[in-house]
Amino acid sequence: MKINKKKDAELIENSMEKVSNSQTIEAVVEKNIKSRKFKDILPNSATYFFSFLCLIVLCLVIGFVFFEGSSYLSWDFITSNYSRSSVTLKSEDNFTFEGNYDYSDLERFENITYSEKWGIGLELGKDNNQNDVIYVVQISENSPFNTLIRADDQTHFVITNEFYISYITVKTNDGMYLTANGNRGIENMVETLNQGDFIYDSQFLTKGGGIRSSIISTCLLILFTLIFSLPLGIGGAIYLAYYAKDNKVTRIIRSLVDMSSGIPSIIFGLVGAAIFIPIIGSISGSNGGNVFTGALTLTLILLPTIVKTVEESIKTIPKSMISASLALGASHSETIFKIILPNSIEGILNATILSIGRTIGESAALVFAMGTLIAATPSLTSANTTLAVHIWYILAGETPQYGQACAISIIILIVVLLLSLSSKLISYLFKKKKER
Amino acid sequence: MENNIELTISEKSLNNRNKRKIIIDKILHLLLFFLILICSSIIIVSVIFILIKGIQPFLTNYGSEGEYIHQSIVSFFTNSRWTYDGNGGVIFLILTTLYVVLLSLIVSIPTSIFTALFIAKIAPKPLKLIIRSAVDLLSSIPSVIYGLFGMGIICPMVNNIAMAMGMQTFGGKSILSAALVIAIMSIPTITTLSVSAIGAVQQDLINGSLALGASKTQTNMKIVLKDAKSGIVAGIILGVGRSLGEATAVQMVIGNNSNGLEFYNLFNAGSTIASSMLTGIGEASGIGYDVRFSLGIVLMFIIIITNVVLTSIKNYNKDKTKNGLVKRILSLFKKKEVKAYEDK
Repeated sequence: MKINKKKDAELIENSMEKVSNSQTIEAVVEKNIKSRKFKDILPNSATYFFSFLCLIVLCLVIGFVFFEGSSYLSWDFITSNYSRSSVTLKSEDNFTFEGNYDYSDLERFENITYSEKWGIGLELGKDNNQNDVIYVVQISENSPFNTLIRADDQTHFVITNEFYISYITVKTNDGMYLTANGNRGIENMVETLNQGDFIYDSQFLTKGGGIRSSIISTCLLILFTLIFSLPLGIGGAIYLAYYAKDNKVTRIIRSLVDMSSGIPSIIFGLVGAAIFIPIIGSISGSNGGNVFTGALTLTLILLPTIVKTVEESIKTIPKSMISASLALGASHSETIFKIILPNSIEGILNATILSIGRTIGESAALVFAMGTLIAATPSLTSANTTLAVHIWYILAGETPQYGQACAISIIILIVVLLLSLSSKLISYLFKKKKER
Repeated sequence: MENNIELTISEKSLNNRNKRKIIIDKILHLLLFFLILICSSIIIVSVIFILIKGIQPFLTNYGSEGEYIHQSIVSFFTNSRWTYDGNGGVIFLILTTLYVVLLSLIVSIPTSIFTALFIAKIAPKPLKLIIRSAVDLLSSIPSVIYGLFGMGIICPMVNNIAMAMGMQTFGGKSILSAALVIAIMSIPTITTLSVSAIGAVQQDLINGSLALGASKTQTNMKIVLKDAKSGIVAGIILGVGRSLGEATAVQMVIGNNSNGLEFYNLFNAGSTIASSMLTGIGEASGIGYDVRFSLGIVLMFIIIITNVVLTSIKNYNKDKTKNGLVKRILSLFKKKEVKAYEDK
């Protein structure tokens, strides 16, 4: 205490000196306020700085994805398959070039290069890796190209405009072999074709690299996840909000549900791989992960969120409403179905939106529980994968394909954006309804 | 007479209907209880299955024709290198994981707290809306897109920094990149919880501070943040929990270097527990697949221990006499001393 008094005395003396130095008290106060204002600038500007940092990061993420991916995103990319199909064609063995075919049925366009000898129209296009390739866009009805056979099983095969040329080897009349590669340009291709009289060997490819099957599997996964998780989650939430008494059992249940929301998704992926893949495999005879195992695993991940969201919205229903319903003679089940469920629709919708968002974005768990194989045809019981895992898969390889990954990310981002907008819209609409 | 009969019939039907209603009620009650039991048993079943599957690699023989291949317990706790052939050591994976998360916190904690303060107290209304929706959007972007962003923007950036400092990186894939990606991913979590914690600070407290002559900024920094501390720490704990288990994004940017001894260098490639669970999953089979479950056990333990430690630190600061782990133990001793004194 004594020391403090001494200190105080010193302080007072000091300030007295200061006052006497600057003559008036007001001046000191003003000076203090000024220096305080100056000191306040730093923390204040720090808050501005850091929040704009968040904004910049968001813009960078979205900008990067759109900048890199927009040129890759096309209708073909969405609708074509990931695996490319190839076909090897040649002329029939007894084929001889007759010389004067009638190609008058070909409509002529400016941007298409024609091989007058064979009666086909070639156009420069892009494959899904944005490389220049030559598409066969027009074939005359009388063209010898219509009589080509497959090299492997000798059956006739007519190429459509989905195919582009990988290479063509022609044989000339004097027994020479000339090969034109698809990536050497369209003039070289036409020149080589015009010199030859017999298609000795050729390979045609479809685009490939598309995401059709992944999109469909993602939609299927969302559908089944919702089918599995919503009834469970809503039922549990109703129990917790309506029936559960405040006793030990309820508290244990609550803390268990809370705890499972803290477990990382990759652990649930392991659980899905350990439990659901064998079970579903023994039921449907499938080997490895599929949409069902993925949906069941996602159900594990989503349940705590759904239970909590729906329970919160049930708790906002006025107690008087439930008591009134019971007092009018309605049973508990009638109250649940006619009072509680309709009034908690906002929470249920929000839970659905959250679930869809999580399902689209989930990758770590699905790598284990659903697999990484990008299938040609989507199906419920065989291996296939979702868009997010598709991105991971094409980036994890030796040559990461940024363009395609960004194009898929654009789709995911747009869906996520729409979902968050719709959740905002829902809360706005219900707020308005309540105000009425 | 007729009236009487009708009455009895209607009473009977009413009784029947009531009975049916009661039965339906009971069934529904049981059904809902069953559903919540399923929801809550998920975690128990999960933990049991992970434990069973994760212990298997230590016990069963994966080799064929006389070879004996299993995950050796000794190397699991001593080997500095993580491999999938049964001799991997997990100790440096754990250290790398904690190190990466710690690094990420250096970036994410100040960013989140200041952003939360900006949203809750400082920002003018339109700016508040913009920043708030930006944070919301950041939280809804899936982790694989953050991984893509990390590969596309952060890794080249880190690579350039390393080049400028005269160091070599593996194309920018490094511990620093992973820490930055994790920081970006945990910012929305911490910010959202901090905003609600700051919003819950009592207005009286703020008014009192202002009335005593503190400026608004001083009040925000010294009163509001101090009062919202426990909420902010709760947000940080949640963020740390998520960061520890983050797999996809980290696996894409950390470089997956299995040699753990070099983890202290920011520009070296490393691998965390979760990322090494994911690496090479496509070709994995036998022990290479099953040992990932053992990693799962380790990951769960690390998360639980970190949570317990952080929570006890939080409570230690909050209430020094009651909940703090160290303090509680200390207080036990103190009471004994007092009792002994009183006995005398």
